[in-house]
Order: sequence, then structure tokens, then C-alpha cells
Amino acid sequence: MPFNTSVFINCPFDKAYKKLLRLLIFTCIYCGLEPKLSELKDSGSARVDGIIDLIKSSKYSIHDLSRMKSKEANELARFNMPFELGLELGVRVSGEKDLSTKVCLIIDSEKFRINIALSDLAGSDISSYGKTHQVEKIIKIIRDWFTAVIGPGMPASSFLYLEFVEFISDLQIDLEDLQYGKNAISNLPTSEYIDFATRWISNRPA
Amino acid sequence: MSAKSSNLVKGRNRTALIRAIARSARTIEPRIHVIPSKGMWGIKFEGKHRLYRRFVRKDTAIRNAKALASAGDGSLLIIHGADGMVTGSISYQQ
Repeated sequence: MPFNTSVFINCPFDKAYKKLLRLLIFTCIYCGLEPKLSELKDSGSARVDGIIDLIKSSKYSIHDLSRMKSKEANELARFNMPFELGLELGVRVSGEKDLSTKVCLIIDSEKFRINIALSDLAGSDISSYGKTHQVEKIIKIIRDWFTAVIGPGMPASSFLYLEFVEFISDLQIDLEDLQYGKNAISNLPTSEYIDFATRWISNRPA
Repeated sequence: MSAKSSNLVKGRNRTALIRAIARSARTIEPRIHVIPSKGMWGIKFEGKHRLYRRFVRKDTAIRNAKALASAGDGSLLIIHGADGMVTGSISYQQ
């Protein structure tokens, strides 16, 4: 997979985040990028080594740090996302030529929180997608970031949102026609979802 | 276990779904969607990249979408949730 068109997605893989992950993936593919997720790695290789490989082979990366705080008493916060962001920033200064050109987007559901919890990132631009209307906000944040780091020519965020709505409907109806249940989309493995989204987008009329 | 071997859709179903996905992407069905839009609820016709109308309340949007479908403007009404996912559909095929 080419370095210049790959985007590493560092986000939670829990059930609650799955719908936003579907959206992130769709937006990346529609903008011409190939999403890479640690979830897709073959379990044959050591997890951290596999993640470093993914980070090194992706020019772009998106890091969602929204799980830095536990939601309930005695629940542990998840440190995987800040850890993988650290790996991303580390490989950039490893001395390898291509890696110094890497760029990343950091997102969170709340504003300014990261600057307190991870003060080493003070001065970095962090985009917040809030707690409501997350779907449209996330598409806009990602699309606008791709425009800033790749260049103009990306579809408008409102267009991407309406395309996402049609894709999800088509996928749901096609799965139901084949007798898969109403929860089939959420049960689809991510690799399979990426495959169907890629096929759907490549068949869209120009 | 590799990611590939854990696919949900396998064998002939997979081939059928791949064909259906490609066909769905190219075809514009007379469908009406009720979707969240900027804190309101919008009615969108399939294939259109602009909303037909926006409403403050979801139930008002659904009522208006049903009226459009009943009048023959759509064969299927698809209702989406706040996360954009499909929560229900109503067929209006004759």
C-alpha cells in the first residue's frame, strides 16, 4: 500500500465507537485514502510491532483521544490511543526520510481537555467534535484536514454526509435482502466493511 | 486468526452482496430519507445532494416524508437515527 495515500486510524474499537469508526473509514476512502487500523493486523505479529509498521507505512494519521477518561467509577481509562499517538510522534523523528513528512490529526469529543491531561501537546491543534451532531462534525473535521494537508479537490463535507447516508442505506438493504439481520452492519468485521465501502464508492457515477 | 477468515458474509452470499453493492451504488431508487441535519431533521430524496426541507422535530419530518411517499414521490421511506444509521423503513411500493 502506498505511503502517500495511507491513513492510520487510532481510535477506540469498542461497540459504542463502532458507528463513528464506520463514518471515519467511509470519509477517508471517499477522499481517496486507504484506512489502516491495528484491528486489521494479523495476530501473528507482536501487537506493538504491528502498530509501528502501520504507523510507518502511513503518511497520514487520525488519533481520537476521547476515551482518555473513564465513564464509570472503577472503570479504567484507555491508554492505547495516547500511546499510539506517542509512537506516531516518535517515528517522525526517527531519522528516516519519508517519516519526517508524516502529518496527524488529533480529535476529541471535548475541547481543551487534552491540553490538561496531556500537557506535552500544548500548542498542538486539537479538533473537537462535541457530544451532539457528531456525524456531520466528524466528516467536516476530517474533510477539512485532508484539504489542508493534501490540497483542494476534496468533496464538500455536506456532500460526503449525504453520500454516507445513501451508502449505509444501500448496505443495510442489500444485507437484509440476503437474509442478514438488522444488526448486520454493526456485526460486519471492519475489513469487510472497508471492502464494501470501497466497492460502493468506486461504482458511484462521476 | 487473520481478519479475512472472520468475514460475516461468505461464499455465494458474498458474491451476491458484492454485485448488489455495485448495482446499488449506480442506481438511483425512488427513496426518501429522513436524516439528522445541523441539529434538525431533513428530508432527502435519493440521488439529490441537497435537502428537500428541514424540520425542528423528527416526527414532523417523518410525517411530511410519509405524505410525499404516499403521493408517489418515493417507493421506500428510510428513517435514520442521530448517528446516521438506518433505524427503520416503510415500503410504499404499489
